Amino acid sequence: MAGAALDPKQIADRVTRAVAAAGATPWLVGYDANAIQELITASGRPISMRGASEAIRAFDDEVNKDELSIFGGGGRGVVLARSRDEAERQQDALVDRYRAVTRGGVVATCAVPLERGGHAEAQSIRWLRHRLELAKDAALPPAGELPDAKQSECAYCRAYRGSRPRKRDEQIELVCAQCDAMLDRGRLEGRDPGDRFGEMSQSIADIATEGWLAVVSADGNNLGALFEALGSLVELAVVSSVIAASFRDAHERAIAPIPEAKRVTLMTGGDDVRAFLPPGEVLRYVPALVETLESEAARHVRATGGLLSKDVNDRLGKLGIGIGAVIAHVYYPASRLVEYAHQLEDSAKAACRRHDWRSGFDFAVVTTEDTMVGRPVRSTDRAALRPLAPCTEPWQAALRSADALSRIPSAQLTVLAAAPTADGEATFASTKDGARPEDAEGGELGNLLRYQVARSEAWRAWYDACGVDWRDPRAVFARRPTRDALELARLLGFQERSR
Amino acid sequence: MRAFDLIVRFPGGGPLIGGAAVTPPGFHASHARLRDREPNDGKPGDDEPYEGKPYLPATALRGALRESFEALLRGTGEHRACAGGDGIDPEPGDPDAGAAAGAARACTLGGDGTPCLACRLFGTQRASIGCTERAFSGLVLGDAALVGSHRWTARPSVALARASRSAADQQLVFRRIPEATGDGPLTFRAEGRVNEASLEPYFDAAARATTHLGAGRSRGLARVKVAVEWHDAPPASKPPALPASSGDVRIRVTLRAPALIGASIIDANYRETRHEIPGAAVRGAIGFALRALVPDADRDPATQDLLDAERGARFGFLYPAGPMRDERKDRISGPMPITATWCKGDPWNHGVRDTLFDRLALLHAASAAEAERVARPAAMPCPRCDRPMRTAHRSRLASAPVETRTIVRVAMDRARQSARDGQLFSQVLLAPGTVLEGTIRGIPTHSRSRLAQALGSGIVSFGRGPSAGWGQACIDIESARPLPSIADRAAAFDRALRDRLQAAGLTSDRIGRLVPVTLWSPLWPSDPDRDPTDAEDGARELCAAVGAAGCYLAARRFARDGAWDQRTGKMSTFRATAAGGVFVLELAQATWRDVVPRLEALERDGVGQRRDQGFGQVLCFDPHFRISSQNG
Repeated sequence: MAGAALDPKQIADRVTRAVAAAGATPWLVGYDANAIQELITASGRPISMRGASEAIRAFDDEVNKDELSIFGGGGRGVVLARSRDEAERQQDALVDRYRAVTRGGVVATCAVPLERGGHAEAQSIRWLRHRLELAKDAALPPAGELPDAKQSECAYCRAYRGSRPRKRDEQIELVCAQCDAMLDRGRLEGRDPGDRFGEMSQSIADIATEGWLAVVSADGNNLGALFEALGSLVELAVVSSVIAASFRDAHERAIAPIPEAKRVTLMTGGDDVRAFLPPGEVLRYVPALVETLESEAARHVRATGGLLSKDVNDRLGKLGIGIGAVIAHVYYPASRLVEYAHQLEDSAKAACRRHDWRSGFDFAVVTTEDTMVGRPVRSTDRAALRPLAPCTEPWQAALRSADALSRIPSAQLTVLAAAPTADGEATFASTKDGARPEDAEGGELGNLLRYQVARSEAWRAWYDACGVDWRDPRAVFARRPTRDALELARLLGFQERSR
Repeated sequence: MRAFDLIVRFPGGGPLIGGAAVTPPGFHASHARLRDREPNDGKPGDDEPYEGKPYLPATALRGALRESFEALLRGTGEHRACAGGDGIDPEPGDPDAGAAAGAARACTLGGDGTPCLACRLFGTQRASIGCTERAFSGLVLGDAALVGSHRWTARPSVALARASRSAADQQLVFRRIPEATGDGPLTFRAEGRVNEASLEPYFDAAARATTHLGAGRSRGLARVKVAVEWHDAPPASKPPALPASSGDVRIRVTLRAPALIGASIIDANYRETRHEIPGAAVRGAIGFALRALVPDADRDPATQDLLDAERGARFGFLYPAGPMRDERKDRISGPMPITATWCKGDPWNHGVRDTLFDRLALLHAASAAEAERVARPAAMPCPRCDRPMRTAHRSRLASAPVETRTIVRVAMDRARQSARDGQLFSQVLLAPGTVLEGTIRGIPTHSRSRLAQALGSGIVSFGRGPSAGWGQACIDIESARPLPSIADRAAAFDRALRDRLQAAGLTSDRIGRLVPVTLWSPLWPSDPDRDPTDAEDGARELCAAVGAAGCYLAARRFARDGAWDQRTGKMSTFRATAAGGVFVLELAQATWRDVVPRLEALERDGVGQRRDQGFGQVLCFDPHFRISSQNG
């Protein structure tokens, strides 16, 4: 049952015991995995991506078993050591173990003395955080044998030498040691007792709807400031656990209605969520994720009692999320889609900051190659829809409007761009400077549009859904569908098709 | 070598060639367009983010010309010709005729093991170039640009259900194509050249024989008349001149055509370009140009010495620069050090702040309280918008993100007149107009005229696809001015470090003994016997070069790098320490004043392997640390 396992008081007790066990001269040892998303998405295959996620989870679980552990999750964590020497040994052990578990992955580590009294504990935690940032840039390179020819590249990741034969679609292909190990681990995950392997899509294409799939990337808002505000190891452990549990529970609850064979969840440790979904599920998944996260965070905060300072409690209680989703054809490499979904997530987070939203969502339907070139460009115009604030009245209004728009036959939408326009002639479809034509009623194009609207029930329903009087000739032209609205309608269309 | 203009006219209908177009809502296909202006901001009505003029991609032109030429050759009964460079004659008699697509082999249908005429003119599927050949393809042909005006039209078509004698359900299709607006036909013009005089008549024949280009033939589209206008003057017209009789030169390259600079890791069907041009590609581009320009380049000492790995010039990496020329003579073209940070929200407009002094101060902190004093300014958010800062991934001279555009290409199966299975590729290209800068150092005196000849020839092209006109560029040359002396830079660095430590209430006996070294280009450590999987990042070699006891701070990343030898067709890969890495070396006893000659030698000679191809170029006491650490 989601959310049942977390007991903040138990966590606080465990941390208190760990600090006591660390003796009189304790050291803090921090770790943070480098290039974690690259590691997970390198293969582009669901099974090995799942395997890589599970490998990292196994590493964190191992860390958490240590009696001196403070927290471990999402490839990062903090443990205590009894002395400087022990801290150094721990660092080496963490690096070696991570490299072994992930077959060549890199984790950055560092250690600082834990000082106590006054603000010293909070200062030590911040010191560790800042030193860890330096350590990430000083970490080892990833291990793995490089190929000496194009033909000897790993068939999955193409980064290392393929040396292990694997059979796929009756063809033998060579994969590198890392992909091979992750594939094995992925196949073992999720199996039922007695089964040799678990159920899992063989290919990203299996998840797709008519060749299309969605990649979601989500991340907590303003967590950097929250972690900077932590005053003790108890707060560090409780807040880290609350965040990890809230995100995990929210994601699991939001993704539960999707059949297991139709989804791939990458590592969801800490505040990161990455998932491959059928595109028709996105507009159901996103509000479910936001709603559950916000309620789970509030529930956990109530359960922390007096363990957290008021400032930390307030920040945690307002926990929000930025979500990006890219909907594209399966033809694109998984790593490229994850990267662009992350940029959309950034765009959503920026909107949260700009509009003081708790959570935000941005998306793109990739219908042309150039969509993914550069950062997402979003309008500041009031009529622009993207990014959106899920679970709000404007969100519902946008969905209503998109629903009405998706019912207009697509051939009728060509009127928005199909008018024969001489090069350089200023119409809405082709303007020199992007400015609208002077004629507020849209000239001949406005007439075309009004003609379409007057004879089409679907068009009229769309204007009604937008609260616009379709009998007003100026409004018909001025409030015609925007690019954002068309994109949202397209996304909604996937939902309709999946039904 | 002879230049020409290829004129393509559409006497009726228009072209429909995909692969580089935004398809507006309601349409199902759209003809290829250039990206003429910035994407709009999504205002109502601006439904098309990029409203550029139509063009004809060179790859489509070449495909159509080649197809016609192959048919012509087979029609003569005297020549054999393969299909699209696959080396297999589709006519009966070839044991592989009718073989599945993908069974390609090097073409030898021309007799005596040479490629067929179509392969000589248009290129063949092979990984290496013959020792007597000048290029993979005898023809260089770029994209065709629109001549005159046009308008976009919607061409609807509907599929009929024969049984019901009515329109089939869901089969109404809209295509967006350009049409002429004036009296004359829609016309496009492409520039190109043929490298061998003996191939010129064949190219003429191919042009005359080509009657269709692109899709929609059964709907009245795609019909063309193609003509070649030969130029009498040779294309090389710019008088060769290097700015001085000795010394290094700085080149400023402005791409006239898209460029695809090979990346080390590419997905099977999604190929991204590098954003910089490696020294190896610069060297290769100049070598190929000289091979075309100099009658016997293989025996020309000036050419050979220019390109020699040991005693030849050192071709540096070219990094993106802004469209406006930076007038500082001592400007540095290279990536930002990875210690540089910029605003997460608006990275290009809110300034850059370097964190090296913060990092050094943090390493000096001996207690949590000291670290707190250091960390507060180090963790400062963007001063303009209060958002967090993150590592700045950009070139120093760039003022905006590198513009790229993505095109889709499909390999056609000529036997079936359809796309080959699994042969759809997306290629991310550097956009025309991209500016890159870099240096060429250590030019042998007697080779300077050869270098000038190549750079001024107008035929230098960088990266892949030169026969499709990709990578063509205008090249400006100027003297590379030296930076301020190492002593001046070092003294300024020490002052700035002392100030930063004092601000945090710290002191250090390391001031004067710390030598920051920035990697200006990727570094491939030298030890040839080292285990390829080991962790060597070049610090050991740098310490040895400077006489340092160790590395006090390392901030670096790693990247797989490599090269492809077009002569042998072989690939080499290695793990390099990425450009922008920073090593702060610590001298044991001496101060930097005692090792200035070593530092000068390090900057001059670089470090590690493949220095002739620009690897291992370093900068001591990078002025960037001082300048941009104040920006916060």
